[in-house]
Formats: sequence, structure tokens, C-alpha cells
Amino acid sequence: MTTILVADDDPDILELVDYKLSQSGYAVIAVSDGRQAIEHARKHHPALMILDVTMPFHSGIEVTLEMRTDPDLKNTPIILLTAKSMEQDTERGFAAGATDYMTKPFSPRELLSRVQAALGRTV
Amino acid sequence: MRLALVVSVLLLLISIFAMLVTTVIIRLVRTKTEARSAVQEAKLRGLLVRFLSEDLSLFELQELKRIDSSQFDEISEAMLSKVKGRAKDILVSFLYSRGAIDKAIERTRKLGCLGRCKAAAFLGNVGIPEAREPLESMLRDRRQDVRTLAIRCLGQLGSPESVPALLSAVDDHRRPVPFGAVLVALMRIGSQGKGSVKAGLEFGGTRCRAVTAEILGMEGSTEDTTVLISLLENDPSLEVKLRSARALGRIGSPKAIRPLSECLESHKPTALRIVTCGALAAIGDRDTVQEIITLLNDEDYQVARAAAKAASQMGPAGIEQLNLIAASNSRGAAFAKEALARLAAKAPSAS
Repeated sequence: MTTILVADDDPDILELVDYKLSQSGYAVIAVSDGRQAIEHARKHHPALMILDVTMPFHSGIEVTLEMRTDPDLKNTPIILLTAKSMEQDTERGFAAGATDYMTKPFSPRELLSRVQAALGRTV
Repeated sequence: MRLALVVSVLLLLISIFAMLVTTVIIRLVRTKTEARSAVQEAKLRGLLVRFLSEDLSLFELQELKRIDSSQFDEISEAMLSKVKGRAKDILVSFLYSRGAIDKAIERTRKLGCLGRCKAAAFLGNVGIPEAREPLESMLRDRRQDVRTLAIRCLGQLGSPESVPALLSAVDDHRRPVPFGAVLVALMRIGSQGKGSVKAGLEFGGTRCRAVTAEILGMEGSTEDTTVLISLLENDPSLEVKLRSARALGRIGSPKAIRPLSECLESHKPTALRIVTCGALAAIGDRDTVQEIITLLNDEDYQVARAAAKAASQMGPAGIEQLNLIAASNSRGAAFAKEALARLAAKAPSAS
């Protein structure tokens, strides 16, 4: 089963994304801050990560940068899911090494499509 | 005497003990209530998530007794601002079925300011056409913070039909609203509302015409150059002229160069001459460089300074002229040097 790590400090979003992905047959690891995201990513080597940008301890951007320097995780697709919708925020996300960038409010269906597309690209 | 003292001390100790016991009991009850509430919230959120993921139908959800709580409405309303697309559509239809939208419309007329603000935010998030009228009524609310929130929510709703109400609100001197809030709301409504925005020039007051000029400039369409030139030349308000000049600079049409150049004349207001320097720099026509450079020796030091800054933004032609002035002994040398220094500080260092 493909494992996806989701990190968001908003319990509503975390649960919605968790449920939507589980419903589609993915194994989901849901965490609520950047520190846990790094720990679980190193431990479980997920196939994809969905990260909020503004989180406690480490932001989604910092987690992305951390992943890109880790030899085991540098190729893991990362989707940033954030309320930051300015052009420079998107640029910063991609510059850090994110695979995709989605802004909140978000469509769970669209997120699922993007997850499938990102996983398809890495196969 | 001694007995009375002992009794008093005992009574005091008993009262302290009773107070401690009461505090502990209150804390325990509160902790238990909070824990129960958190468990209930998690259960309700789970139900809502299943519903939004289309794993639970509206009928099945309505059958559940647990959802007959205000807590469920609160969770649903909070979720509304976090999702879009199909999930939002089904959430709105659910809230509709529960009468939450009618209740929010009713709340917009309530006495409490917080309640009215919450209702406005909810209606803005719902984003249905029925929300427009109550939000427009809130533009006449007695409190400015409520009026400002209503403006933001109308922008979120994005209906071009609310443009006349927003333009009237910006002109209402008895119930003032922030200019920037109206501007942002009109920007969010976008080009669909442009016809109504331009119509505001016919009936609107000073602030309405100013906001119109600003919006036309932000949209940047060259077809609005004529309207803006007319405002620049004929409007009685300096604020409208300033915003028109800036808007013409943003649009960048060469047609605006002559009317803008006329605004640089020495008898024109200083503020207009300063803004016009920036507008001409934004258009960036080489032929206007000399005109701008001449202003470096203007008697009004603010205009001279603005002209130097403008010249520094006009590419090699402007910079070359600035260097010549900087090397001279003229009055404008100091302004030219300042503009060149600022330009050098901004440039990425060569390494």
C-alpha cells in the first residue's frame, strides 16, 4: 500500500485529507507539526508528502528543504497545501523543492488528482 | 474571650477548606466537560469529513441524532472557509437544509456586534447570491468594523451586482468606510463589474471617482485611457486627479504623455507634479526624459527630488542625464546624486 504523510496543524484539514486519501486506498500518516513530519518521513519513507506551510516547529518550506538534503528522501514528491497564495509564496515553495503547490481553500477531489499525478510521475 | 477566638479561627479554616473543595470540584467538572466536548467534537468532525468525502449521504447525515447540536453547526461553518469545489457545494446545501443560512441572515440584524460580524463572515464564505442583499444592508451598519467586514465579504462573494452599493458606501460621509477595503473588494469582483464601476463616474462623489480611477489603473486596459485623461484634466478634485495620473502611468499608453506633461507646469499643485513624474517614468517614453530632467532645477525641492527619482527609473537615457547633472554645479546635482546612489544600492552587487 502506498504511504502518504500529511502534515497540517489544522485538525479539520488534517482529518479531511486523511479520510479522502484513506478512502482512495492510501495508507496515511497524519501529523500536526513540522518536527513530527521530519521524524515520520525519516522513519517510514512515504511515497509522497502533503505539507502545510505554516506549522509549529518547522514550516512546510523548512521540511521540504530538509527532505531535499536527505539522500533517502530527496526524490519524494512534496505537495505544499497552504493559505499563502501570493506569487512569491508559490515561487518560494517551488524554489525549496516542492513538486506541486495548492492553495487553501482547497478541493479534496483536486488534491486527490494531484496526488495521483505526482505519484504517477515518480513511477 | 479565648473561646470566641478559637471559634473564629475554626470558622475561618472551615471557610478556606470549603473554598478549596469548591474550586477543586469546579475544576474537575470543567475538565470533564471539556474532555467530553472534545470527544463529541472529534466524532462530529469525523461525520462531517465522511459527508464531505461523499461517503455519507445528506439523508444519512440528517438521520443521525448527534448532529442536532449547535456544535455541529459551528464545525460545519468553520469547515466552510477551508474547502472549495464539490465539497463546498455539498456543505452549503447541507447548511441550507439546516436553516443555517436563514439564521445567519437574521443574525445580520441582531444587536450584538460580534454576532453580526460572525454572520457576515459566514455569508461571505457561503458565497451564494442570497447573501448579497443582507451584506449590502450591512454597509449601512452603525459600526465601522461591521461595515468593513461586509465590504470584504462582498468582495469574497464577487457579484458584479454589488458594485453600485460598494461605490455608494465609499461616498457615504456619515458612515465612512476604508477606501482600501472597497478597492480590494472591487478588484476581487474583477472585470465583470467594470461597467458598473465606470458608471460610478456619472453619479459618484469624490471618493467614488477616485476609487474608479484607481480600479481602471489596476486593470491596466488601454481602452480606459480616454476616461482617465478626462478625469485628469477636468475633475475638480485633486485626489481624483492624483489617482488618475497614477492610473495613466500604470496603463502606460503614449496617448497619456501630453496631458500628463501639462500637469508638470509650475502653477499645478505640488502633489500632482510629484505623482505625474512617477507616472511618466512608468510610461518610460525616451522623449519625456529631458522634460523630467529640467525639473531637477525646480524651485520646489519636492518636485526636483521626485523628478530625479523618476529619471533614475527611465533606463540608460535617464541615468545618463542624471550623471551629467550630478557632475555639474546646478541646483539639481544633489538630487541627481541621491537618485543615483539609491539606484546603486538597489542594484545587485557584482561578484
